[in-house]
Amino acid sequence: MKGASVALEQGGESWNSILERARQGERQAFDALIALYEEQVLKTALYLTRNLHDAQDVAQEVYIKIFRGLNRIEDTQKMRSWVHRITVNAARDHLRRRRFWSPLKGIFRTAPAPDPVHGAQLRNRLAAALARLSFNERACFILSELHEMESCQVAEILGCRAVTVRGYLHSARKKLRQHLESLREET
Amino acid sequence: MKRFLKKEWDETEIAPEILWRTRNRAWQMLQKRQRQRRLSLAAAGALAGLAALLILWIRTPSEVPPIPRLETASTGPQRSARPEQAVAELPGTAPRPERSIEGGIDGASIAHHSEAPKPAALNDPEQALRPASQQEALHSESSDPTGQKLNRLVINFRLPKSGVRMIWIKQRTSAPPSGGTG
Repeated sequence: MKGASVALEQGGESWNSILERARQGERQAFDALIALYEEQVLKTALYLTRNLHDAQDVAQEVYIKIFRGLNRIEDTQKMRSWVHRITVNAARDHLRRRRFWSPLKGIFRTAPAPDPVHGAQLRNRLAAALARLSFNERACFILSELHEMESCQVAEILGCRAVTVRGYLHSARKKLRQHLESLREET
Repeated sequence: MKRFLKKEWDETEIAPEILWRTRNRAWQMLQKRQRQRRLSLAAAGALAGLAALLILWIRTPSEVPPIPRLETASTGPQRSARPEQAVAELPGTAPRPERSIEGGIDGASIAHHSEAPKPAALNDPEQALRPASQQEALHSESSDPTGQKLNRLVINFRLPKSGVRMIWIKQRTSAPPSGGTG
């Protein structure tokens, strides 16, 4: 996502012209803009919600918010952190809603569809490890360790202080280490 | 640990079909919401227009001043002409000239109009300042040729915003004092 604008300009069209066309409601420009972020958005949502269908719902909500906020976007760096912020917030809202409706969902549960994500087994291991963390710890770990962001950037995205982010990271690492050690002992 | 988790993260790939499907769903949702918003805006506009028309229709008749009616029985057949003519004959009710649009704000035009005859109340500022009872007394000095004394109160003015000219005439006839019967 870092080189989003560079990749666009190499493809023959500038970031600004895509942005302008997307603001006018052009489908192709919307696709080109979303294509820059969709994989990262969907992956982040997938590990935050630990469910592909929920991740798709979250990503859909994020794309709609991106489209509506196009007039406020000025540069790619700001857009990157903004996209992460709305992804984390949308995932948090989605999980809250799911927690509310989950007793009803159990009644209408159907057979699970085959997981179309490549490396689903790997994902399950990572997801199982991340499942031991709270939402904030998970978000901090994903943004800081997997997206390789600075703690101040993560703090800006989550709307808290950098000290708090470091605290969350510390407890997340501790929990994950314990989990992985227990896995190693089992094997 | 970090390397292990990072490797798992990097090796997780989402099928392009899922990416496309999610994007497509978002676009369809956007289109649907935009259509709904446009429809609701149009409906709200139409409702607001209807409400404005209704308010105008209700308020307009009450704002129109009632047409002054002249008593014709006591003043003879000459007085039963059109109300505007009758008003023009009354003292202090000369028609006020309209300000021309072409003239604009140049001094000549304004001077020209200032020479035009004005209502008596404007020509004589003292008269305008007098209380209504005194004015009534002044007007009441005019007497009818038939010998009947007329008490008239004429208020002639123009509403500043709407430009509607309003004339109120209070007319009362009284019998001449009889010579010592009572």
